[in-house]
Amino acid sequence: MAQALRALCGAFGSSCRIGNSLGAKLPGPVRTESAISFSGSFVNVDFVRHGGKSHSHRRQVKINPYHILPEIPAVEKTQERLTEENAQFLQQVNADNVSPLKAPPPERKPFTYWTKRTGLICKKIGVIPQWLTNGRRIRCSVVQVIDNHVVSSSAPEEFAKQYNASRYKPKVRNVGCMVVGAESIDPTNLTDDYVKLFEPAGLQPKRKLSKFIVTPDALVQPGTALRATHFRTGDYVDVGAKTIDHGFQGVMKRWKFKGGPATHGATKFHRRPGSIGHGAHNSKVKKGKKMPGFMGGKYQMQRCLQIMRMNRTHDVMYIRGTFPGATNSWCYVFDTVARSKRPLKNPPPMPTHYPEDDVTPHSEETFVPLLFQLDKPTIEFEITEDDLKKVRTGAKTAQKSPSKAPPKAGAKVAGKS
Amino acid sequence: MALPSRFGIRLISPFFVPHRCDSILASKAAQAILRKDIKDVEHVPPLVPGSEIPASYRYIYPDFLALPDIKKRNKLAEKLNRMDMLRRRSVMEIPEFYPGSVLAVTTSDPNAPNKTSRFVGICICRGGNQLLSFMILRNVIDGLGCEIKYDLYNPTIRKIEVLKLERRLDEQLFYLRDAPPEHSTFPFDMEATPHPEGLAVPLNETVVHLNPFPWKTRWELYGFRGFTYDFLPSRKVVRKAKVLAPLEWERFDLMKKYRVQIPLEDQEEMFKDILVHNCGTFEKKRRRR
Amino acid sequence: MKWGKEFYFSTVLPRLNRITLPQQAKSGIPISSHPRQSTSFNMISRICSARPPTALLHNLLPAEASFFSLASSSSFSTSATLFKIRKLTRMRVVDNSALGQQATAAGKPAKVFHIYNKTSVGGLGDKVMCAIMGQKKRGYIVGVVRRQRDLIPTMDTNNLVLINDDGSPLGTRITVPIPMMLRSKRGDIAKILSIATRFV
Repeated sequence: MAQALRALCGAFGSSCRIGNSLGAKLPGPVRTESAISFSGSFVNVDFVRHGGKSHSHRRQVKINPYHILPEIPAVEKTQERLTEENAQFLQQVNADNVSPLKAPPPERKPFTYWTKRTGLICKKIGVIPQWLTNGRRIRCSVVQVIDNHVVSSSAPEEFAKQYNASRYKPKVRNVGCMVVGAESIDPTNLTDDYVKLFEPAGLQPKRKLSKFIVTPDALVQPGTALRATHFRTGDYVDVGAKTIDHGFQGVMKRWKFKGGPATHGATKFHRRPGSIGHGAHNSKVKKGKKMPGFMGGKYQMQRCLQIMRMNRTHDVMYIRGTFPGATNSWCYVFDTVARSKRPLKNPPPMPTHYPEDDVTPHSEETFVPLLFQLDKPTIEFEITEDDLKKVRTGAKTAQKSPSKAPPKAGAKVAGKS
Repeated sequence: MALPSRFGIRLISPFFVPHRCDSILASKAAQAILRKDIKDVEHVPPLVPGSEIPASYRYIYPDFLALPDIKKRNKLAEKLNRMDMLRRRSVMEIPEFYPGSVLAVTTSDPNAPNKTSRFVGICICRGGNQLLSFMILRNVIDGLGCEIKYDLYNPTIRKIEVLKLERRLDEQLFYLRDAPPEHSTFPFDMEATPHPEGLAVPLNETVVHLNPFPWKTRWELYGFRGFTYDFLPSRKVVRKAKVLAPLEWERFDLMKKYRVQIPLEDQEEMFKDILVHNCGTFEKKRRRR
Repeated sequence: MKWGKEFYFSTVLPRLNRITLPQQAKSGIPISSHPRQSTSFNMISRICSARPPTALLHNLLPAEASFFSLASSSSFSTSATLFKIRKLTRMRVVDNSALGQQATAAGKPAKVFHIYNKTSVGGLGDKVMCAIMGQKKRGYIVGVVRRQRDLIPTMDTNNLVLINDDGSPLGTRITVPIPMMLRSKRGDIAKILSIATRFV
């Protein structure tokens, strides 16, 4: 694809907006060859405008002028200058640094009615149709758990110090906090301060960090991997995500107001809210009055969605239904808050699923019994006694009914040729 | 008399707008391949030089291609989708067909007395991507035109038979709704016309003469080639109306093509899974013999 | 269509205006000189044999009205036709009842004025009240033009089967095919399905 793009540039000359191999300065967003090759087969997305919606501006990629020599990478430098003594000394120092995972994990506690486990940071990768065993089609949102690791976990006492200082004060006081990270990334382009956040846990830096409020019995050791098996097929979950940003919207779209008449002499009153208050002595607009404003782009939760299917190898869950947010956007998946669906009789793994828990050999994919697995034979419906009765009565009424043309025996079904 | 602005002159779009008019079937390369009287399909050169995947895969398995919208594409999701599709295909064969072919579909129907129902019709449209792929079959039964939409991967479909494999001048034949009924009538006991393997799919160049006005949609504005009509609109109306058919120079717009189609490298990846699957099923059949 | 061109043009669908051609067409010169017109189009320059100009513009569907209103000069935007069955929708009676056949012959189709539904949009299997030949009659919707979900057929016309107050059908046979999914509906509609000849 990169070759094709370069050929295209050659054909159209310097007027092409895609950066050429020389890295010459071009109008608009600069794209170096490295950027093109990174994106693989995809076309430059910046050509598509987002029509009034907010989007972040990326810093332009710097191009080194030819007279500045390339820097020697840090790793090579240290290896060059280390003497044998220094190397041994460093080894000793590293041995003293104990990763939290070296310590034995805390005692596993049972799942209770009040337990609140961590959620997972996932990516909505698509919406796929699936079928049930009765032939009905449903929509399943496909969600991928990307490289979730626990970065830190604070017991209630520690967390209390944090939240007392902040505005946020949870209703239930005896709660701990966990910071979970998703999607490991290369630390070269990150600041030192950010990378240091992950050192105590001994983790590769993560693209996304998120806090989860949990009860003390559900605290997980920092450095533990959180996989899709944290949930099970058949479990009900709540999914939270940022809704699609619609930008500044008027009252009709935002609050579904009726607006005014399109015709019949309406003067400049088609999409307006109309009156915003009433009464002379009540001369103010009430707080929270529905008015035009920014619509979407905020965090919403979708409750009580069932996990229909799970793929362990890829850490992918198929959740029945849809939830806010665009494809390839982040979402948070939690155990459901709905009381009727809390799995007390069949409790989930506490505090999370560890690889040692897999005693029996497991299959790559697990399904809910109601979900039809596409490698099974075609769905067939059984003929019952009632159906046979209906056919007989149908035939009788057809014979009884008088008509010009003689009726054919039995109700004619399109299936019969 | 001034009509309100909603009673406009501009066209009404039908449910499925023929996007991607410069489709794979309409492109010159595709036409060249499909018009050739090919005796041995394997000798058709692949679209990406040096790949093992035969060119015919793009026409036999168009449902394997994902939506070209970059923002919605995700390789893992597409891969999982494809795996599901191949699983279903290993149970039920989805044959090669094009809009214009006559198909017979047998489904498991809980409402039918013997729990199966069969429908025969001409495929007027084929759309969707991956598991959402569908086709619409049309037939005129007892004087009433009926159209049924079938999701290709619906597990209640027992069998899809191609009674007559052929192509038409257009990729969508919605205008048959406003054509005389004989063009959409196919008897339920129609026998299958065998299509010898390796032979190119014949192009049925029949041009249908549509019924007089009014029509359900303004077919004359879409650039369909498969029909003629008697009505002659006034110059004013023709000037004002917007035509959806592609402009002559649009087929040279490479950037538009890149946005509207999936890159060939990604297409290769998608079709590779089918190749592997086909080899596997071929082996199984061979062992059975 | 089996139910006759008379009916097709005069009742369910709007009536045509007489269209006059510009001078060029009469002399035989092709009119399609518009650059966007595809060259492979076959435009026959013949005067369309239109119906008498008894056009009822307010009865016409919006798009057709605009197409024929040559007086209007500006371009507007229209949305796709939804084909919903609402109040004042004209329906085709598909049973062999005397009332239905009379209506067909007279060119006065049944007009729905009430839909027994929470939403006032009629779908397959819904009971409606219609005005036919000056009478009020109830009926069941057995065919719908509106797009349905997969495996359910869409018909070319909105079809209706008339029933009495007790729910028994007026006619003795339904001449057209009916969707199979109606068999799963419970209630009075089962009486109608017994007179059906063909299911799709």
